[in-house]
Parts: sequence; C-alpha cells; structure tokens
Amino acid sequence: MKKLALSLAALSLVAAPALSAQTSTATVNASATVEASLTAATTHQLKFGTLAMGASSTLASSGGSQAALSGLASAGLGQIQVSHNSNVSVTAVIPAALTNSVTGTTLGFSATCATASSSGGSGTDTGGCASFSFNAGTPGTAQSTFVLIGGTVTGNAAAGVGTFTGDLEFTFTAVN
Amino acid sequence: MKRMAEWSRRAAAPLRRGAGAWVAALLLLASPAAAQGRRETVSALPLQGLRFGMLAGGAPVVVSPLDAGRRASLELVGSGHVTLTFELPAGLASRGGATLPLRFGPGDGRIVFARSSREIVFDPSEPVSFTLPPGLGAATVHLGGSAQPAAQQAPGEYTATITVFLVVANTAT
Repeated sequence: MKKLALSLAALSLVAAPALSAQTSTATVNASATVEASLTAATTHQLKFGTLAMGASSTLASSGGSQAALSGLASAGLGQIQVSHNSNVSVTAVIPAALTNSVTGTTLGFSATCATASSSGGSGTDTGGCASFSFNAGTPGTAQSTFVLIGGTVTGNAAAGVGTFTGDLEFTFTAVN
Repeated sequence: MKRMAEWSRRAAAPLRRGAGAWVAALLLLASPAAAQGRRETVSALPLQGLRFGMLAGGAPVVVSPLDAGRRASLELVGSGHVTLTFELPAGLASRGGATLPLRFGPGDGRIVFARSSREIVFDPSEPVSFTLPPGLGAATVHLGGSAQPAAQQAPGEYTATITVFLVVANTAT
C-alpha cells in the first residue's frame, strides 16, 4: 500500500504540467505642469522732478529714507505691481543715462530696487535691479508684490536744460 | 512454460520494487515540456508616460487610454498567461513637496493585441489577467487617468512613477 502511494505520488508529480512563474516590473512616468498666474503693471513712473542745472538727485527705494511714490507731477519712486501665485525671478535692463530727446545730451543714471508687500510699503532692498527674485508666501495663492524703483541721476551742467528720460525694462518669470 | 513464468517473475521484481520510479522516468521522457524545454516569457517595454500637460488650478484633466498623445503605454512582448498589477500613485509630487491628486478607475486601462481585434478594458486599480498566445505578437497596455488640481494648487512641474508588476504563469506543456 505504501509503495502504491509513493508510485501515485511520483505519477502525479510528472503528469501535472510543470508550473513556474516569471515576474518582472516596468515603470512609466506620469507628469503634469500647473501653470502659474503672473501679471505685471506699472503703477507709478520713477520721477526725479525738477532739478537745478548740474544738480544730482537720489531717490532711495528702500530703508528709512524711502521716498514716496511719484504722482502725476510730483517726484517719487517708480512702482510695478506684480500679481503672482508662484515665486518670481526678475531681470531688468537699466539704462546708464537719461537722454534729452531734443538735444541728445545725457545725464548719468543708476537704479535701485526694492520689493514691498503693499503699495508704497517699506521696501526690502533687492541688491540691485539687474537680477533678483521674490517668493510667493503661499504658492498657489494669488498675491501681489510691489517692486519699488529708485535711483540716482547725476547732474551735469553741460547737458543743459530739458527733459531727460530713459526706459527701464523689467522681465518677470514665474519659477517654482 | 514454467521457465517462462520464472523469467517473468524475475524480470518483474525490480519493476515492482521501484514501480514509482519507473513510471516517473517513463513519463518524464514522454513529457512534451521536457522534450521541448520551452519556457514562455513576457517582457514589458515602456513606450511613453502618462502626460496630463498644462493644468490650471481647480480644473481637473482626464486623459483617456485612447488618447495616443497623452496616455501611458507599455508593450508586452512574448507569450504566456500574464497577470498585470499596477502600483498607482495617489498623486503627482512637485519638487517643493506639493501633491496633485490622481484618480484611476474602470475604463482607464486598455490592452490591445497586435494581431487580433481583441481588446481588454480594465480598471488599473485591480489586477488584470490574460493570455498572450505564442506566435500572435505583442500586446500594448494603455493607461489613462485623471489629475485633480486644487484651486490653490501650487504652480510647477509634478511627476510620479507608475510601477507595473508582471507575472507570467507558465504551463510548460
């Protein structure tokens, strides 16, 4: 009886299909990009006002001596309101001089920048205007940051009288 | 006749003693699996990832497994009885640690067989089993799903990995 059992066991072992399993894994990626919301609008022009011939003027964009925002006629800081829901990097092209479009004469110019969380608020110096950044307090939530622009115009009596202007070009990029 | 019977008993004795082993050996030699030494295998080759593209906060996006440009696809090559199990991420993650929820449901999985009109529609959150017959070419697994960005979803790039576990049960016959 014992032999019979062993024989049947051997028989079934061989007669059954030889079962085995191969296992492996593969991966694929899933991806998405959530778009950022970013707009910028100039709310105030940088104005040094009326200066005496040859006189220089400085408007500080940050700190205790921060000047007021410019008005229609009054001197004051420039300001750009940036609405964003992500971190933002900024680059700017600042002219080295303001130009009298009639005579072609120039006055030396340099700019300083600061950021504030409210319009005309106490600004935090950005360490220059050429390249800086500011963050979203809560990424995904719409908020405004105000870029304050000051600077120095260097007097030059030889430049004569007239209106001297220049364009400051800021580029804002949403970053994550 | 008596000598013949005696010879028969002697010849049969070893067979009786090891009857199991003899039968086993004979069946082993007769087994087609042993004769052919066949082992069926299936390879999974990722073709493309699941791409939800550009999303706006608060606006869910659904990618159909029929969307050739955005669905995930894997090619299965070989033959055998295949069981696929998907490890599906609950969401995509940004470098900053934000999560963008994902959902997968019935109909988000589709298997298309290369040399037949057969298709299997399945729920990737459940295992799916099928047979790839020898000589009938490959099958392609397509995967869709939906992304559910929150209204205040942090902008940026989000990614995740979908892992597919493949088990091929062979009957070497």
